[in-house]
Amino acid sequence: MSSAPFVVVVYAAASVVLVGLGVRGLVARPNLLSKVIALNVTGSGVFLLLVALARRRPDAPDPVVHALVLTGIVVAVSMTAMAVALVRRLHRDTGQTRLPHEEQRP
Amino acid sequence: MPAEALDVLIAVALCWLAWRVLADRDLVRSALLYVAFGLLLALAWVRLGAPDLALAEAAIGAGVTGVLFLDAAGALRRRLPTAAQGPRPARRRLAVLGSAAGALAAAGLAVAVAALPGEQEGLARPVEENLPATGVGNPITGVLLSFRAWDTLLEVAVLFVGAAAVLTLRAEWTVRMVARRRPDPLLLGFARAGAPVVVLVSGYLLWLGGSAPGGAFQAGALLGALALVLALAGAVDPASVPGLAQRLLLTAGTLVFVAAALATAAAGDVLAWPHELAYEIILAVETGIAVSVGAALGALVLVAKPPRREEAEGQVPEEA
Repeated sequence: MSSAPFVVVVYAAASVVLVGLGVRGLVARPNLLSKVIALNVTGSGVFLLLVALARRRPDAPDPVVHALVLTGIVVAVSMTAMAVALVRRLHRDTGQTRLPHEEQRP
Repeated sequence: MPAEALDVLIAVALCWLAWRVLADRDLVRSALLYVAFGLLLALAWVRLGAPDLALAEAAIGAGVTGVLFLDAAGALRRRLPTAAQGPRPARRRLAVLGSAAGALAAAGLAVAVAALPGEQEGLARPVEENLPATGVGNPITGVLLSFRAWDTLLEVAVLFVGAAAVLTLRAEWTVRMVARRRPDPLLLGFARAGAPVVVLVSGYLLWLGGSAPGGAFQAGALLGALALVLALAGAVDPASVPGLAQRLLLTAGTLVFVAAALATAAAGDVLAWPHELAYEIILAVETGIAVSVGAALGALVLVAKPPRREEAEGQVPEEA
């Protein structure tokens, strides 16, 4: 990556940080809605990495990667909506916002 | 030089916002910060030469996802004050474990990315060379609807399955209650006056997608937003839309896509659009996709909330 354009290096570095933060949130936050948000941050990091890498030839970014990420954004929102619906259903039925094996008080 | 400074600023702000989103104990604030994060990400897409993604991210990534989080955060916070804080040592253990996992993931990714070549041809040139055969001028649309049309077909199916799953988890529409409680004449007038304009702009984006940034998903996101505004203003009661119409709206993209594939296969072009009709077929398929994306995004947000317990147990919902 040493010969890559500056903009690619900057956003690729940011994407690595985003993935790290997202994975941290996914594990560290017991609240299920926080976990879904963390999953979305991780996904954004992956998208950012893909699009940054697609820019390595500056005159013409790779449109196949852009199409892939566009598909990814739409699939991510479907996944998120279903996960949020599951969290809300769990909350309605049990009053909990965490998984049973996480420490919790009724 | 100023351009590079802007890139560094956006990248640092993205990381800081992501940290704030995930560190905040207040879910509503977390959700609001996530919207800001999504909008900043849209700026990053522009800087990386991906305006199609910027449009989709601002509407779908920041808009729809943000509304989903905000609505859920409000509902979870209302009924759960601050009771469910775990015991301290357990929280600290989770934090240490999470930090370790995050650091490991980031380090592994950094090593892998650093090993990649800095210059890469990619598929930009082959796409450019073969684009005339697709009948469209925008390489993203060409890839989505022609070279990788199979992926897009399944993507539309995923959106439909997601909407169907959310509808199954909840049998009653949220917004009906909102609309009944607060019929706002100003919002209603605005929604009614704005609706034709939004439909027009959406159609323009769809048509524009053939040659410039835009296309079915961006147009569909606008339609979804329109559905939300109309439902929130009380101009349209989503529950009054007949079941068959709901199903047709949600599946329009998949149905048109499959019909086009079967028709061209019957005419002799299996898994390929016939050359002279490619543009017309792509436009028809995109129109179907835009309708379905709009319906699915509207449905995903409007029905994310489960019915209140007494209602769910007391009566059989009139539609499912």
